[in-house]
Amino acid sequence: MAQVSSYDLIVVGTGFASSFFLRGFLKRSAANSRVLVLERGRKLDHDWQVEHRSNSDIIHTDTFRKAGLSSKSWNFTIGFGGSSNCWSATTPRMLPNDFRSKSLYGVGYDWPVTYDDLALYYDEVEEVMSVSGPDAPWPVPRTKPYPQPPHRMTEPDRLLQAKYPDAYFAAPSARARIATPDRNQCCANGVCTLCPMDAKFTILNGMRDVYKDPRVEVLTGSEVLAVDVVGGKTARGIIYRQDGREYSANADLVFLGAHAIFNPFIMLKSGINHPLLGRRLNERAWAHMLVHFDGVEGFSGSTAMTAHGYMFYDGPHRAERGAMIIEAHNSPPVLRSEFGKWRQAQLFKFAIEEEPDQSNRVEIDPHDPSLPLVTFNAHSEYALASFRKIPELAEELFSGLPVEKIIVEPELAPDHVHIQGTVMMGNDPSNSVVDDQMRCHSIPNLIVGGSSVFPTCPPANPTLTLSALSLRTAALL
Amino acid sequence: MTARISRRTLVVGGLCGVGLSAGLIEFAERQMNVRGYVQAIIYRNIPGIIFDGADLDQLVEDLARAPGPNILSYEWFKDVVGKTVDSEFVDSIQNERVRRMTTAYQHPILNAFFMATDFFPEGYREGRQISFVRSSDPYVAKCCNPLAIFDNV
Repeated sequence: MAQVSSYDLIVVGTGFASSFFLRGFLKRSAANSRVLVLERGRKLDHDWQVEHRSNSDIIHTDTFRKAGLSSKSWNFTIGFGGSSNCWSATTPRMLPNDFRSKSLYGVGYDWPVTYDDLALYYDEVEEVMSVSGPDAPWPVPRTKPYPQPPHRMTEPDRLLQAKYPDAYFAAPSARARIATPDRNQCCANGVCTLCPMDAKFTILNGMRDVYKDPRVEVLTGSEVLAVDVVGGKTARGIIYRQDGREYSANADLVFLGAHAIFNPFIMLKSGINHPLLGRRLNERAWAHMLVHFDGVEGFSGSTAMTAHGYMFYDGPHRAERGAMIIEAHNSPPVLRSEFGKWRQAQLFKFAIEEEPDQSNRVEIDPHDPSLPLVTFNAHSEYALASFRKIPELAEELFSGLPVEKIIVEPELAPDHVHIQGTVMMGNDPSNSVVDDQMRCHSIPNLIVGGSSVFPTCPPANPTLTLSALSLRTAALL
Repeated sequence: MTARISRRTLVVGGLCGVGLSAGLIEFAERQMNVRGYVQAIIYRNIPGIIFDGADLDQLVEDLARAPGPNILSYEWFKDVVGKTVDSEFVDSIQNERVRRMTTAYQHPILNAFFMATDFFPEGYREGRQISFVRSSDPYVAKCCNPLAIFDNV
């Protein structure tokens, strides 16, 4: 094994968690500090991705083995910028009550951080991403307007907003409402996982300067094999493979931002043990609903996903079943075939809070220890109870509105592209793997970032929160 | 120098020529059938509009050019459309499975028609000539949603 060098910080991965942590670290570190960034994939720019109609040249399903529920799939990108390449760029904050679900509803765990702890960092992430969002009032406490004005909502959205003025809002998103120096304006193609216009925020178009900092050395095509742990208490560095050869690099601080499948896998491969490590794998359940309107035309919004409904999100029902946020989808248009009624429709999706279960897990594949084995047995009864309630709630949602038909898909979608859990955050080392600053309880100079640390699975998209957590941790170093 | 063509070469060459011609004819027929199918779907669902000629050709090409499996590339489609062509062919299909699949494929064809033409920007009007405007593939057209409204902000 070749010894490379010593660094102040080694960052694993180049997705949201790593990039925002690095941004925060560089702001506060000395001019002569040294950072090594290891990225398993290659740096494939937007032109390459569009030409190949793919976010990466690594087939992500080849990088893990799947067990359990056969219909469940896991979606992510391995490459420079990680899943910022394939995300849809919808950026709600979590609600203050999402951080206190145990205290308020007796379900799951309280987070070791509060909404107020993150508010400042939410602001910063929104600035970096140039997020478009609603004018006041907002669904969550804010101290200033969004950086960009709201996207245009559809006519059905406007009806729902009139009916629910305190619960239906233009959706915040990092799909540009106004072109920025780095991004074009969103033109509502509805293929956000690879935006032809380069209109959504990605690490490649929005944070590349972080990686051009002279203190930072980036090695792509470098697969991290393990954290080099000394005496079970200190991370000495990282062991990685590049071009078939193994290397080690030392650092005072190691940041793992390899997402909720590979973070625990790397930790397990490093000999780190904790009863919850790799456990509680989850992502939100996702249900689709198509609504046919009578005389109201949809699809006139200015972006793919135009609005959020909070009417079934927070409340006492969370003691019994999961919170739900409603997403209003504008494109690609799901047009009707009936003559003259082509546009009288809109697609809505319900993102449903999960109650993580320990049996859903990531572990080392006993048949091929080079791969993680990802087991997901079932969605929780907590999530399914809300899913079953959707037809009834949909009737309530659209009562009094000119609706012809409501069609709820009978099955949940196979994935929601928001893999979470597996390296749980908490104050008590007996029931959590990392602390409130995402430092491993047993190895304080090992920080684990991303939605892998989320103790619960609220329905709001996780990216803004996991990015804010990274900034907070960097600020508290 | 003049080369002499053997009898065997003539026979083989002739057979190849016949085969090639048959292939070209089959290809041309299939294209005709695909074209007829797409046109029939549109006329059947939006009576009174006019969409043919070069504009129809462009839409068919656009549908066929889409990467990966697309609505004109499935084997079943070639089988079905290769054997049944007339304006009422959907109604004439006796096989329930084929009828169901063919009907199911009307929607994406209609969707592509709406997205690729001036149908919505110019509005529906009986007897109006519809024009192909842009590819319905966002990776070709870049911005391809005629329904979205952006306002000035």
